[in-house]
Amino acid sequence: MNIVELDRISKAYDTKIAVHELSLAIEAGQMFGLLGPNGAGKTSTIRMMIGMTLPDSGTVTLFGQPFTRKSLHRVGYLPEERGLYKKMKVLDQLVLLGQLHGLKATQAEDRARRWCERLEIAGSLDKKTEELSKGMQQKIQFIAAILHDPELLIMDEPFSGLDPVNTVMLQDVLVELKNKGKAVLFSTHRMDQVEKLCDSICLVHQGDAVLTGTVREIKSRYPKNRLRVRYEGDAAFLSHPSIAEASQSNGTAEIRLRDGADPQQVLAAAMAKARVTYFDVMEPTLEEIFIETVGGKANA
Amino acid sequence: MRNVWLIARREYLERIHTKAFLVSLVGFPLIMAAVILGPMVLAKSSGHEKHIVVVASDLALARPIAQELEAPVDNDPNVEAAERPKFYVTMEEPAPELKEHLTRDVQQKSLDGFLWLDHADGILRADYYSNSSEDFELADVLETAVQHAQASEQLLAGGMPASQVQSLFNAHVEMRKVEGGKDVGGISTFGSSMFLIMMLYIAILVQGVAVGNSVVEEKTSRIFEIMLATVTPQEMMSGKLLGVGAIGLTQVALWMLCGVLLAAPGLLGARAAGQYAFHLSPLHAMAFAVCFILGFLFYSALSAMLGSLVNSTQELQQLNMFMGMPLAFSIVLSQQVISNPSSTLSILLSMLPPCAPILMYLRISVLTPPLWQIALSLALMLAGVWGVVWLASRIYRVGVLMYGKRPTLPELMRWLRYS
Repeated sequence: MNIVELDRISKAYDTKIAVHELSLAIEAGQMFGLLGPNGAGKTSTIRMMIGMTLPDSGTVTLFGQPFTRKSLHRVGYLPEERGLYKKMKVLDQLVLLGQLHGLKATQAEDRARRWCERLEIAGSLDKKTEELSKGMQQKIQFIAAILHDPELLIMDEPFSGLDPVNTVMLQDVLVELKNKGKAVLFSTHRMDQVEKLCDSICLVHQGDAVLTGTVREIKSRYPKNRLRVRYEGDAAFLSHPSIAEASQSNGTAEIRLRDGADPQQVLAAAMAKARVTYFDVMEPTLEEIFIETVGGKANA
Repeated sequence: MRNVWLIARREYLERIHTKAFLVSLVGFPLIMAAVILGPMVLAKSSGHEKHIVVVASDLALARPIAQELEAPVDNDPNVEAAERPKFYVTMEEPAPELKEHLTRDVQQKSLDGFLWLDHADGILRADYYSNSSEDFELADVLETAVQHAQASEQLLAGGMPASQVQSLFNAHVEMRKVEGGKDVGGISTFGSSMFLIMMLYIAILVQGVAVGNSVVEEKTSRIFEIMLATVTPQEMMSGKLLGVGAIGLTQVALWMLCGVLLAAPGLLGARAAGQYAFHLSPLHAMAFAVCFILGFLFYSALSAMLGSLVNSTQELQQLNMFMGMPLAFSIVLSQQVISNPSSTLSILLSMLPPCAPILMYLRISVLTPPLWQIALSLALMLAGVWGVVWLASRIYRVGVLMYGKRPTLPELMRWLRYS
């Protein structure tokens, strides 16, 4: 059973189409990446997924049933726009949010303490939110989203603004939850994170899902046309007709082949003139696929 | 319902611990006391003794005027003791340059004023010269004194004995109210209504607008997105309304408790001495409480709606002026309703949720309207509260997701249709 199923959902605002006939499915135990440049329609898609706005057309199915508010108790949500009650103490805040998700007060407090310890912010439990740094507030919100042990986690840009240590800390938690069978969706425009964490992705560009599927399958759709060669001796093979582009330094060459070219020919040419110590036919990175698909707008 | 309760509790607990709550709890009664007591103290210390001169060619006319003005105030049931100054009257006959002389005295403030009486063609002309031509209470007092003097002069001249003439001017009409077929005394209907209006007005100004602020705060802190992922906007609005409303009621209840504790000895004393026929039936007390609570909730809901329309507290403050308008409207109409409590207009107005808290209470206190009218009015107020909350939560839901600018009217209509 798919935990989330979006079937051709569309949403238009006054001046622009935010999401256009987007479909995707997320299974239990899956880490799903929703990618796209800023303004691509990621947040609009997420908002429709949790019923904050309704799609103009198309259907949202959560846990095998058409969307109802009842399902929201099984969903954990970290919005892109962070916000907490400024004057409220961290623990009170977490307990309240846990209660609103259906937990008992004692249960919520217990879990809040445990998570805060795990994420190394237990010392802030009795502080007011406004006394905390941005990164700490983000961790609090992260905890608020997972406190009620939801089956589906939806995280809008969960790592933005965090330092590398904290990013890894949260990533570990997400991986752990995924391994426990939760479905995890997160949106980002950082390709390296997706490459590292996600099983499946949906690449959104200007409201359209331009690429959907498992990372493995998507990558296999693109030709393996990148080579990395380490060699000793003559570099003349780099002008082989199969090579579209090459750069080299310290005896290592990064090569992009022409479409349809055979890496074996390049290897043969290199071995004819030089001594090859390393030869790798590389998969395209998601970033390259992304740039190729949306036309260089990844950082727009 | 659990969510509404959780949200309401949060709002209540957060607010009751703030300094603002404490400050307004203590500060407001202090300001009120200053506003009420200040003028009384000032009046006592400065303008409460008046030295005036009565100028008349006929001392038979001037003497009774002077006597009436100088008479001890307790004997005069028409004027409340505190309001009437103590007079010192000198009588003069007109003389050349007397007017100029007296005018100079008034200017130099060695004299408060002089009353110049003049007969012309058999008609008495009375002019009072002072530094202020707008002391209406004094004008009343002088007018009565001159009328009495004139009448008694005529009556005495016609041969009526002086004692009989005096008794002619002691008539006083006391307003008493009949309820349930018996005389319940002269309860100050207008007074208690004004009290309700004041309490409502102040509670709304001080605490009612807090709901709007709290909605705006929710928007600016951006927490609504987490909240909306678990609760409906309606639950959120209702929770805020109840939580902030409970704060307002707590505050007013504490004020009233203080007020009653401070005023009780005086009131009971006055009642024991038979000076005031103070009366408050259980029906009135209940009507007061219900009208106050419903009125407060209605206006708080309005405030929530305004809050959901705007993006900053500054914008909200600009809109808050609209909150007082229906109240002011009700106050303007209250005199009309008191004199004609059963007219169609009065009945209609007392059904209108924004005016009902005040005008229905007025009608209940001046006469007892049919039960169905009271019930309908209360039901409409409840429906009004619910309706405004519903409207507010719709605007809120769409408004927070399309933040940025204040909506235009067509946009607003579209938001309302949005589901």
